[in-house]
Order: sequence, then structure tokens, then C-alpha cells
Amino acid sequence: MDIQYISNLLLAVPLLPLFGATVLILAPLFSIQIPKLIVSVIAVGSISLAAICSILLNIELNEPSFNPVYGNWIQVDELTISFGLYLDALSLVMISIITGVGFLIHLYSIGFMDKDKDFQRYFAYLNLFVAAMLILVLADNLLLLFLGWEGVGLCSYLLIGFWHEETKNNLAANKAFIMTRIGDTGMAIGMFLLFFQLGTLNIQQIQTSAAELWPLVDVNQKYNLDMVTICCLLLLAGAVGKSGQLPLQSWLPDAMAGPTPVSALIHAATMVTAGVYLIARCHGLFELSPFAMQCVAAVGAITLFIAASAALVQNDVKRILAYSTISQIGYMFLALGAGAFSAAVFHLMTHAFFKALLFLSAGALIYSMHHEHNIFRMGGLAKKLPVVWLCFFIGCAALASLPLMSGFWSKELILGKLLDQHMYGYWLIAIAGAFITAFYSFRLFFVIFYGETKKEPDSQPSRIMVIPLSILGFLAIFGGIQPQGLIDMFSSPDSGQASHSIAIVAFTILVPICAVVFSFFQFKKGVFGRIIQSSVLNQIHRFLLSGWAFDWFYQKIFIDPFIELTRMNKSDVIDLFYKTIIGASRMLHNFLSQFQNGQLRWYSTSLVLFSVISLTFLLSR
Amino acid sequence: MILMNLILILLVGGIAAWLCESISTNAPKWVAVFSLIVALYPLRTVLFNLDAITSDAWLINESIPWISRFNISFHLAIDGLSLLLVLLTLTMGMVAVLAAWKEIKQRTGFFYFNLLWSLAGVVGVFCALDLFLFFVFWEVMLVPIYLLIAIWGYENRRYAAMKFFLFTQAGGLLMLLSICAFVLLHYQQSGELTFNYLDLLQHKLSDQSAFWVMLGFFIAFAIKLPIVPFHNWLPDAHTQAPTAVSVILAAVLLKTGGYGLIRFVLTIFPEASYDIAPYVMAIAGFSVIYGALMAFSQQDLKRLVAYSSVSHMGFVLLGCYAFTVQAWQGAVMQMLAHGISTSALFALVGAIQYRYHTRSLKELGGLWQTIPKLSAVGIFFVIASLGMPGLGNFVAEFLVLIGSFTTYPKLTVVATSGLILAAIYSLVIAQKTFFGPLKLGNAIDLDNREVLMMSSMAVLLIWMGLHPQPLIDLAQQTLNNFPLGVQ
Amino acid sequence: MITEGSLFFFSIALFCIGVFGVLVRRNLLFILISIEIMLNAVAVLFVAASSIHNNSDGQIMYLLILTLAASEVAVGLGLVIQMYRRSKTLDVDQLSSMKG
Repeated sequence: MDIQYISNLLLAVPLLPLFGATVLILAPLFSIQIPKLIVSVIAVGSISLAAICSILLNIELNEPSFNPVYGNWIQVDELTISFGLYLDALSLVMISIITGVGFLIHLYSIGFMDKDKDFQRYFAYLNLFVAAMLILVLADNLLLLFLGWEGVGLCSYLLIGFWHEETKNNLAANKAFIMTRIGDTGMAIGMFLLFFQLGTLNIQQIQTSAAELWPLVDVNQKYNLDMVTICCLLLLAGAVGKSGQLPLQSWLPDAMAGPTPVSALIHAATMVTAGVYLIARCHGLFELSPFAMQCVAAVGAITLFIAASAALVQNDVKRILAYSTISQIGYMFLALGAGAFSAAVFHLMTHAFFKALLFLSAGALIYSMHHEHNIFRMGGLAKKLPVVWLCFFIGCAALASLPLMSGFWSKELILGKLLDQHMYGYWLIAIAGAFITAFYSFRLFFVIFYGETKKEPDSQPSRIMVIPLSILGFLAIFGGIQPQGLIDMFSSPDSGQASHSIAIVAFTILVPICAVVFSFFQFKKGVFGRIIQSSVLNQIHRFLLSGWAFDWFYQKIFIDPFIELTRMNKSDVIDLFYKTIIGASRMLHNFLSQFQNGQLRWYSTSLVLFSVISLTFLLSR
Repeated sequence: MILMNLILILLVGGIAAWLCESISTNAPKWVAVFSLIVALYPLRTVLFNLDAITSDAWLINESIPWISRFNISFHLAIDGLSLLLVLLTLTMGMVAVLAAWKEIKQRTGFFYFNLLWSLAGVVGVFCALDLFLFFVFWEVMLVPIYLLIAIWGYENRRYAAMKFFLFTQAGGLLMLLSICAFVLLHYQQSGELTFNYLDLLQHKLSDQSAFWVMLGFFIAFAIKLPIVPFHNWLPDAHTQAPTAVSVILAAVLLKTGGYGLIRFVLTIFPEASYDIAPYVMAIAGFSVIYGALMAFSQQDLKRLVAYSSVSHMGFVLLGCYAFTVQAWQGAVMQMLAHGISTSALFALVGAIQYRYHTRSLKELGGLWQTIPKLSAVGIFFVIASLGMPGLGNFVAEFLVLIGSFTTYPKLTVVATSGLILAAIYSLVIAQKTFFGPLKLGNAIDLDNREVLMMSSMAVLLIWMGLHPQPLIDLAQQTLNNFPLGVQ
Repeated sequence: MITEGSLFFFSIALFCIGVFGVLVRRNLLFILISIEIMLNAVAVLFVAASSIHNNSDGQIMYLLILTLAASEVAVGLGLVIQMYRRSKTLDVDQLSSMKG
């Protein structure tokens, strides 16, 4: 293995998309027109080259890790931060997903965005996003990771508000940026604390010196807020914000305001899984704090249930998929909390395949249906849009983790791991979540493609959109092979795979199938009546539709008081002090200037009076 | 006589610009550009030998006797920190001239005369090593700015100019008192009358008198920085000032406050400063939050940016009083980065006002649809001001916060929440100005002059964000001579 | 024989009449005349004091006051004439343009 060659190859991976983005951004600033064809070549070309580089890296890398340093970024006193990339099995999987799925989505976007007037701007943002995401997963220190972290946040902001003429989209973009910023600020404080305690920001060094400084004494110590737990919780805050987990999850459904391929790439396949990546990357730190691990698992479990139940009642096809994304990332967090890091990343990978597939086919559907988002205004499309129908079927099956689909293997792994760790409560929630997931995904499928036709599609997806769809469909079925590198990386010596009884395995397999059957009878056959009229149910429906009313709650608790507070102090309370000084001196001026009235006799009278008074005073002393 | 020539070039350039007005109304701005370029020429020996900088304190050190009766000399010197700030002054002076290019149509000669004279004053402030000379330059930079606001400002210019003048004069008076007290105390004890910084640096006052003398300096610089509750002049001055003056104010005038804190307050009175540090840190944290909250509630775009300035300069104070190397470096970086990003925002607002004759967020909106270049540049600087990693402001804020965290963790956490608020008000600018439905008519997009101006500032910010090490090394040269072992 | 007391009383009375005239008269000319009366009151006092103390300094002061009064009247009347030409009035209550 030639070190120089590999380090150049590795550097090329983030720099190629960055180069593409730079060209596409700078050209219009200096009034250079680029034809659409060239824009597509630059954008897709740079990503495909990056994808080829990461394939080469997959072949060439035969060491556990590789850490080239390309230069110094900041060096002040003992604080040294370098431009160093870190490649191991985890980041290799991540860059493969990002460049691979990213390439397919770029390709798809050429078709999808064909008629948009801001074609070039779209690809500039998308390339910039891929570059930032690659920096995020390749960084060897927390600050460089933070650069990528904020970079993807920025691109997400720009792309959610891509159609900026509508204020609604901009508000969704603002919401996404600010809510993730809250988490990021927590993460930044975590970085300060880690540097303060350990004197370094290099991720590998942090984990080794943390293990020395705060050795894990008792595995069963719970609810103990020691230093390592605080660090982990602060990092978790960042992860929660980025990955749309409780309590910062409510931005993700609104983020669907952006173009659909963006939702596929950023808000399903890659960026929102950055939190999972962060925790997996810092697993050495999190393993030192059982309490933090508990928190990760709890966040994941609660989120997966809340989001799945909210997905059950949505009408907008993209919102259903958004809630299901939140819920699936909840599974990953649950797996992380259970210590099943490799299972979490494995689920991240399969989720990237099938969720990208689902979003892209939803995009194709919306594209063909005159930008219709409401699933209840569609129906009977199975015959009319066969390609979309097939893709949806594969995607929903993988999402529902029907046997032998890719999602099946990863979800089974997580469920099995939960049983291994004796986390039965979490296991039950996960099973319930699996049932709901299968139910709502096939609700989506049946409502859109069966029943009576309400609206005719006006076009079929173009060929350039079908190619990525078919590749992703293939991956969603057969992508369920866990990368060996991940297993090696996260395997701990003593964790033998405990075997579970056949009954439990069969049960976990049967649960989603039951849900599908139930959904079939509910939505295809209409056995149970489609809408159950009852005021209590209606209220629950409304409550779930609003995503458990988190937005309302935050509005009342944070936003309204904040706006009220700032509005009250609009003209700066401190200025009053200076205004008072001005007022007092003006009053004094007015008072004294009365004596200067130009009346000669008034002046002489006061002169005489004052002389008399002062003379009297002087003489009488 | 490098520095003296540098200042003389600016002063003479100013007079030349004034005289040239009789030839043509366009002549003064060319004279201004020319003299700002020529002003770089004396610095060539330093700029081309940056690698050869040793730990020796002064890169250039020159002195001639001035008022020998009071032992006052014309003592100018620069080290790494001063050099950075002088370069910032000349660069942003150029940006200011470019920003005023089309906006100023009346009495151009006198305008550029004032602009160049105040720049000369600022350069003098950054170079003076004689306390009396420092005070003289301090006044030289203020009076022209007062005239610039009062003559070429917007609707409420008299009030704003007066407010600016009174606040800074009050600070200047306190500083003058402190200088006199310091010099006299030194005279009483050593029998030697001197205003020389280097001599006075050796002198050690008693705790009591050091505190009061330090306080005088501190308040003068805190007003200039500005720090809540002395910040009220800033929003008014910025709102009413013509674009070029806003640029100068934000880019360099506020920096004289930070420079003064580092050069005088912290260096001459380390113990007294260390004693008040907890209170100052609290004020700084409050400034960060308060400025951000105020920025959010403003409807006038210039006022909003002005309050964001207050918030950003809070980080400078935070960095100065944390007493760690990283925080100090961060404070210096913040001065440079804020100088560029905020003045770019002011230049943008000026460009918008030039086109639409309004700065109100209620009336603006959807500018991307008609002037995409300006909006794209605007988004860039908005993003810079909210502290996006990879740009100068982030490096600065990161260094300040990570440095302060080691000494004042709780206050740092409070100040860090300013990052969230920064995101909120910055996105408000973006959303209400550039995005949304178009409310006003069409306008002409950025011309080549403006693209050049904006892109050069953008390149500087990216450079500072990705490769700040040369700047850090230069500033380190000053900080090496810092009395660090106070704790 | 005129007593010291009556001399002082006369001079003070004269001075008070002058002051009263300055304070109550509106015509600038009368104010000037009242000032002249006040000057003369002081002059009388000087002469009286000089004769009481047998010292000629007071009489010399009287000569000084005499010349002062003459020049004052010359300048003052000139100003009054100018003022009358400009504003067609000598009423000091109307001549109040010097107020701040």
C-alpha cells in the first residue's frame, strides 16, 4: 500500500465536490453563463469521481485505520488543530454511502430539476453539501468535524429554503437551522469541556486519554453525573439536534419544504444520520459512561415511538416519510445506546438505501402528479405508474423490514442485540415501533396505488430518473450485508452472540407481516371503515397529526416569551438612562434661560438685589 | 521614519483631496485611493520580511523629541498586533472609499479629507507609544468622524453625531485624566516627567491608585468598543452615518477600543485588571447576549447590524479578560474578522439603500429575485456573522470561548448561547431581506467595483477561517511580551 | 454747619434716587440721566469724606469722576442716538433683542 497514493486519494474525496461547488458558485458572480449540460457534467462528474475514489479506497485500505495530516489549521499554545483525515471501517462505510447515494441522487436530480430556473444554484448547494458531509465523516478532530457539521447544516438550510419566493419555505429553513444550532451549541460546549479536561480535540486521543483519566469502575453505576457523562451528554445534544431526535426533532418534518431529492439525500440518507455517526465515532467515550448510554437509548426509544405514531396519521407523503426517518434514526440511537454500534451503522446503511429509494420514488410520484402531496387525493396508480409502484413496494417492504429485504437484517440485528443486553422494555417499544412502521408504510402503499383513481398522472418519470431508482431498488433488496470491517471494528472480545429461542425470532418476523396484513384489510379492502367518527379519536388524530404538539409547546414556552421580551425592549432600556440625562440638562437649560430675557431693567434689578443681599450678608457677619 | 511617513502620506493625501475638488468632483476619490495605496509603500520592508520576525518586541521603533519641556516625544512603533491593525485600517479604508464611490456627490473634497484624516488618526493610535501622542491621535480620529456623520449623514444625523461625539469625548476626558494622574504619580515617585509608554510600563503603582487609573482607561476603551451599558452611541451613529463611515466605524474605530485594552489596560495594570476580571467577564457575557437580543428586535437593517456589532465586540472583551493565550488570540482574531464581516454587511446595506432608498426590514424582501449577486454576497456575510466554521469569525469565537472556558466555565457557557441568538438574528436578515416574495421593484445588480470590493472581503474571511496561522503568529509576537504570569 | 450724617444721608438718598430711576424708567435717556445721578452721588460722598478726613485724595477722585462722567455721557448719548435711528424707540422693554 502506497501511503502517498492513498492519502492523495483520500484528500480528493472531499475536495472534488468542493471544487464543483466552487466553480458553480463563482461563475454567476462574475457573470459567466454555463450551459445546463456543463453544469450537470461538473456536478455529477465531481461526485462520480469522488465515488470512484472511495471505491478505490475500499479496495486499497488494508489496515485498520489510516490517518494522514495535510497541514495545520490553528495552533495556539497547547491547542493544536490540524487538517487531518481519519479513515477506518466506519468512515469508509460512511463515505461509500455518501458518495454512492449522493451520486445516484445527483443523477436523479438532473431529471427532476430539469425545468427549474435555478438549476445551477441547486447543484452548487448539493455539491457543497456532499463536500461538507465528507469532511464531517473523515475529520480526525472534533473541530474539523464541526466544520463539516455546520457546513451540512448550512447547505440543509439553503436547500430547504431553495424555493425562496415562498415565506413558508424560508421559515422552515430558519427553523431547521436554529433548532440544529441549539444542539450544535451544546456540542461546542462539549468540545470546550473535552479540551479543558483532556487538552486535545483529536478524536482518537480523546478516547484513549479519557479511558485513562476516567476509567470505567462499575458497569452498573447509573445516574451519576461525572465529567465523562457531562461530556457525552453535551455531544449527544449535538447529535440529537442534527439527527432530529427528541427534543429537537420538530424541524425535520418541516424540512420537507425543499426539493424532494434533497429530502432524500440530506434529510433521510446522510445528514440526519450524522448524529449516529458522531456517537459511533466517539464510542470509546460513550462506553465509559453507562448513564450516557442509557440516555442515548432512552432518546432513541421514545423518539422512535412518538415519530412512528405521528407517521400513522399524516396525509402528506413526504411528511410520512420524514416521520418514518425520525423513527428509524430512533432505532439507530437505541442500538447505539445498547452498545450495538455496528448494528446501528448497519441500519444506517440499509436505511440510506431504502429511504433514498422511497423519497426518490415519492419525488417521481409528485413529479407525475402535478406536485400533489396529499395521499388521499391519489389512488389506483398501480397500473398507471408501474415503475413507481414497484419502487414503492420495494421501499415499503424494506422499511417494514419484511423478511429477506435489507431493512430486515439490520432491524433483526438491533432487536437481537437488545435482548442480549437484557433491555426488555426497550425491546417491547422497538417491537411496537416495528408493528406501527409496517402498518403505516403499507397504508401509504395501499392508499396511493389502490382504490379508485382520483387524479390522472400527466407524465412518466424520465429515464435519467429511473436509472438511480432501479439501482437503489436493487440495493434496498440485497444491500443487507453487514460490512465485515464494521464487525471487526466494534466487536468486543467477550460478546458472543447469544442464541435466542425460535419462538422469539419467529415473533419478531411475524409482527411486521401481521401489520401488513392488517393494513391490507384496513386500506385496500376497507374492512374496518376508513374513518372512525368519534370526538376523542378525532382529538387523538389531531394530536398525532401535529407530531405530538411539540411545535405548539415550543411556541408557547420559548418563542412567544422570546419575541415578547425582545419586542418590549425594542428601543433599548439602557438608552433611557442617557435620555434622562439629556432631559434633565434640557430642563435645567429651560429653567435658567428664563433669566436671560433681554430686559435691561430686569438685569439691573437683579444686579441691585444681589448687591444688596451680598452686602448685607458681608456686613452682618 | 517609516510610520511617520505613513501617517504623513494620509494627512497630505487628505489635504490634496480637498484641494483637488476644484479640478473635478471625481478627483478627490482618486486621490484618496492613490494615497491609500501609496501609504502601503513605507511598510514594504516589514511586509516583505515577515518570516524574519524575531521575538524582539518592536518591528519598527522610531522617536523624535516633540515638546521637550514636558518630555513628550513623537514616539511611534509597531509590533505584530499593531501591524495587523494598521493593515486592517488601510484595507478597510480602501473599502470605505469604494463604498462611498457613487454615494457621495456633494462636497467630495471635504469628505475624503475627513476620511483620510480620521484614518491617519487611527493609524496613529495604533502606532503611538507616547501617551500624550496617543491622546492627540485619539482626538484626531474622532473629530473628522463627527463631521462626516453630521454633514453627510441621513435624516437624523445631527442627533447621532452629537451623541457619538459626547460619548467618545466623555471617554476621552476620563482617559486624559488617567494619563495625567499616571504621569504625575510617576513623577512624584521617580522625579522624572515622562509620557513614554515603555518607561511607564516599568513603573508600578500602588494598588489603590492603579485601580483608579486603570478604571479611567478601561471606561474610555469600553465606550469605544462598545460594551453594554456604554453602547448607545453605536446604533445611532451607524444608522445615520453614510455607508463609508459605517464601514470605517465598524472596521477600525471600534478596534481602537480593543487595542487600547490590550496595549494599555492589560499590559500596564495586569494585577488591577486581573482583580476586576470576573466583573468584566460578566459584563462581556451580558453584552454578547444583550446585543444579540436587541439586534433581533430591530426593524432598521443598519441598526440590526450595529447591535450585532455590540454582541460581537462582547467576545473581544471576553477574550481580553480571560487571561489565557487562546482567548487573547481569539480577541485579536475577532477584531480582524468582525472588522471585515460587519463592514461588509454595512457596505451591503449601503448598496441596498442606494438602490431602494430604504433600510426597513418591513419594506424590503425578495431581493434575490431581482439582484441575485448582491443577495448571494449578502447571504455569505450573514453566514459569516453567525459564526460559520471555515470563516474568520468562527476561528475567533472558537478561540475566545475555548480560552475563556478554562478560567470562567459558567460565564463561557452563557456567552456560547450567544451563538444561537446570532443564528436567529442573522437568519432574520437573510429571510426578510433576500428571501420571500418581492416587495419592491427591480434594481441593478452589483457592478464590477462592488463585486471586487465584496469578493476581496469574502476571500479575506475565508483565508482567515482556513489558514489563520500567519495572523496568529504575528499577534503571538505581541502576546509573548505580555505579563502572563499574573495568576 | 452741615453734619457728617446729613451729608451721608444726602449722598445715599441721591444714589437711591438714581438706582430707582434706572430700575423704573423705560426711556433709555432717563436711564442714562439716572446713572449720571448715581455717579454724582458717589462724587458728593468723595468730597464730603475728603473734607471730614482733611485729605485731598477725595477731591482728586471727584475730578476723575467728573471726566469719566463726561466721556460716558458723550459715548452713551452717541449710542442712544444710533439706537434711536435704528429702532425708532428708546423704550428698553422693547429693545430686548439681546436675550439668549
